[in-house]
Amino acid sequence: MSDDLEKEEALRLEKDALILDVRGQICPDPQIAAKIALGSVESGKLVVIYTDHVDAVENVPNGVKDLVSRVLVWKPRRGEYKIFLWKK
Amino acid sequence: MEANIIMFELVFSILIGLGFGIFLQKGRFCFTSAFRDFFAYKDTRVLKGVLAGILTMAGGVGLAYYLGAPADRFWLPSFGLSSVIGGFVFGAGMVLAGGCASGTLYRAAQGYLHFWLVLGFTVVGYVSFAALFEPVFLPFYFEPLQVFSGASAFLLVPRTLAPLVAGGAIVAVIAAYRAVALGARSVIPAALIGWISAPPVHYLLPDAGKHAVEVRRPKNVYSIMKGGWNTTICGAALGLLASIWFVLWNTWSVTGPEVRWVGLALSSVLGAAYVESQPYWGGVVFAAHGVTVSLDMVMLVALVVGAFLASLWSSEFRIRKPVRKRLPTIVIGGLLMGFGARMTPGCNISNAFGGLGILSLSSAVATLGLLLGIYVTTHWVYRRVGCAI
Repeated sequence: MSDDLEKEEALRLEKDALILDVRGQICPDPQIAAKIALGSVESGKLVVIYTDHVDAVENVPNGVKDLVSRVLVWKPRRGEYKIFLWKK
Repeated sequence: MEANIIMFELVFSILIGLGFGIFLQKGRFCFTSAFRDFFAYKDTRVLKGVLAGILTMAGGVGLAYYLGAPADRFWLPSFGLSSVIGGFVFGAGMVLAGGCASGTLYRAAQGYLHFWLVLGFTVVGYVSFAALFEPVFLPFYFEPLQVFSGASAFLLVPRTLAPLVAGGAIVAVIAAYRAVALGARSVIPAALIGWISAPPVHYLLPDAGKHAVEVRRPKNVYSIMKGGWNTTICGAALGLLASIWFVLWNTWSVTGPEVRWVGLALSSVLGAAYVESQPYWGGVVFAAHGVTVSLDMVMLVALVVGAFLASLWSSEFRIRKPVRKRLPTIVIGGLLMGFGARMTPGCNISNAFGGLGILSLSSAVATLGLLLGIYVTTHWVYRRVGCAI
């Protein structure tokens, strides 16, 4: 899958983000974790969901669509995805 | 001559199976997500795919039957309260396990050890059910509850009217979906004006909720081939393949050939004669074709291979280790799916996809049970954050 972000940009954004490592977890745990995390941060903050679950790339953004203003996906390596969620 | 026909059928079964696997994987076609995430936050991504598939298959089956496909291709088991209970058990199992019959297979093919385990416990469920069939399920479950004869809307009318039946079903379902998604007034435009003035897919199956999110996805041929595919289009493709499969073999099923593989494996250990003598294995599972490798079993293997190849191509294959805290849901979910698939009978594919595609009454009742099981279990699983529906 093609990335929305270049590696340098992704790593730069990550420095100021809440990163959740949910690798190994499958639906619906990543969505639930994302929802709880977004509830715990201030507006405008970036939450990164680090997952290896293919479906999460679709299901996590859809699950929190009312809470976020922007979603980008970066693929650090084969079978791994980082979902960047900016809270509204 | 006969060898050529067998070769032709074999090749076709493999090609259709590969197609099933590829579209399931590329479309991230998860039935659990289709209903669970619809209830949880009105996400219609896979639900639209399922509907597109059912309607495409209804059209394809209607045409095939009109053109002469034999009536025995319609899978119409007896039904009753047993279908609802069995569907409920399977639906609960698929939400707990995190995947349904097809979802478990295509994700096992992508390297998810979690789903290899689910598959293992589903097999335990099958074998346990078979052992309990004669003493428990036959007298106390099937005989009292599985009392109505199966029926299909297609078979209620003369063969020449089959396309009309399909057309009526398609219009009715689209109108109903639009009414739910957009409000009651949208029903009239859908039925009368049609889809000429708007892109057909978005007009016919609009999103239930608007996406207020900027999702930047670069689009060129390479990224499209390497990435995920539109779930609705994959659903229609699956429906088309299922229509062809209907002509070649029968109504599409996953747990059907799956349980036959289990029986075949058992027979290699315990002997075919023993397996055939068992009330469930011989009397139900292998009653039609005997203890052999039938075309649907070939299709199933090809499905797994297709999903595997698609994931390799997309760089999405990876051995993924399960998390320990999901172990209880793996065990219970797998067992419930094993039992549920036998108790209904059928799974999400044979009832909620194939069965609805052939407009089967028994599958409609089973799907009701399935949705109930998914609804209840979804509310339990999402209890920390709540559900939209």
